[in-house]
Amino acid sequence: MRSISLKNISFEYDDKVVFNDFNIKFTKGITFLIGNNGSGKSTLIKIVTGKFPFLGDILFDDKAVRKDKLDMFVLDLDYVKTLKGKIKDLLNNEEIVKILGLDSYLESDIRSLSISLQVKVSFGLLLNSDKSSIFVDDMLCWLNKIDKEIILKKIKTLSKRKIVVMVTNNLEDTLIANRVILLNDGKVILDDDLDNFYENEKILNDNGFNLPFIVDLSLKLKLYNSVDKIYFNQRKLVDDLWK
Amino acid sequence: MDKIVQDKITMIISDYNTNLEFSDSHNIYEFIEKKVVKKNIVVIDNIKIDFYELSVLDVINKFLTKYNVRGKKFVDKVLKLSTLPVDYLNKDPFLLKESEKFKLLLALVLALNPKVIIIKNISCFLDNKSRDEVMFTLKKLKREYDKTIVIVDNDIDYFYTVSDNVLVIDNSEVIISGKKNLLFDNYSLLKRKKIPIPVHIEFIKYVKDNTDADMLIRDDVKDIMKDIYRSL
Repeated sequence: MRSISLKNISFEYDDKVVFNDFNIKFTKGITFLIGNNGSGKSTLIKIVTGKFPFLGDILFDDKAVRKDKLDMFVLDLDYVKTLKGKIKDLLNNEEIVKILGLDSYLESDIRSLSISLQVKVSFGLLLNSDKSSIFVDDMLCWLNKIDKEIILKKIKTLSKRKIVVMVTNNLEDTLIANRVILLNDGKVILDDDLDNFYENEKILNDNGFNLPFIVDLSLKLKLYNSVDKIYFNQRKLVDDLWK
Repeated sequence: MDKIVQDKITMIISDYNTNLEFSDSHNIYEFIEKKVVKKNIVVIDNIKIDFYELSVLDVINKFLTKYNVRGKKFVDKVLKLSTLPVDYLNKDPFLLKESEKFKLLLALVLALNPKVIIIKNISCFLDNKSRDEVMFTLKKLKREYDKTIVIVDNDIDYFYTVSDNVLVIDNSEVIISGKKNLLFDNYSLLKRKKIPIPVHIEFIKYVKDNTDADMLIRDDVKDIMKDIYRSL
């Protein structure tokens, strides 16, 4: 699949208009949706993935597709709750088991594990999936930083041939993104590639977001002309500064 | 708990083999029964509370009846602790923002006067704005009511900046306990044990190892920038 287009989407919940004539297109690569509670980011995922009814059209490669034919992996808490059985039966991929450090849990029933571990197994299933698009609704917060780095690196590789859309509140996660979208009240406030997105410091601050550490630091250094761009990698910033 | 310093905000960082899970609940009374107060410790974890009473005042009064706490003083105390304005008493609690619900819940359990409050995974339930508001309330509680606050959360980069102390647990054993700069002092140990390290520490360590810069252990980007300029 090359694209998913939402056209003229309208959606109401409890008599409150969440989206009104909303349009957006997702393509290959990683797109992060950010926004405060109630901004519509999770609702958007639920609309695209067929969980919420809506007015308007969703086109997959410019064609309408029946709900039961959607070729997508949707990772949210509802998905995690559906998982049952031993890890070895759920996740039959030695490489993924190894990189996620799940070797010692293979005989464990997933329901007996902590929610963080259940989420980690779910990400293992996502990495093992052959679906052409991936939607992750606010699940990265359950992973510890080390596992998150490993998983995001793997997802980055997958995103060369898949459409990946993830919701997060932690802007540190977005440093691997191709595109970041800020939503507020069902409207797109910012929608840009990673480099340009973080030029909008004031808008992000006004919306309550703390910049990722390295972006914050490089923006401050840029202000004093010590660097000429925003950095997304600590080592590159240090190497360039002390060159 | 003896390793956690009183009247401070302590962040716990742990590996996956250490079980820091508690059961979750969606009913405030069930929640209170299960978790609170017997040991003067409140654990608020993995929780998304919905209130079904007609007003915030009804929530407080129901709580008051249930726990045999008497008087208007209690209502005032809850409001003060929650940092919610007085006109919130008449609001429909179902319509409160997540941060406001969280603060109301926090205030109710705090009014029962626990010594230690453990807050787990709030990053998964509150957005950044709400989390900042909750942290503001927690800092105030720490200062004014001598509460000991323990944070368990995967967003260690954020909580590193708002904590006083850290407690690092590996295989259910405390391996580091004390001031935040211990994370820097024990960098190699943490790496070896695959324990997550805050981004500030990672950065300062890399600068120190690869330049002759004299960097101090900081948690504020502006201070880190000043150290960089002093060294360049």
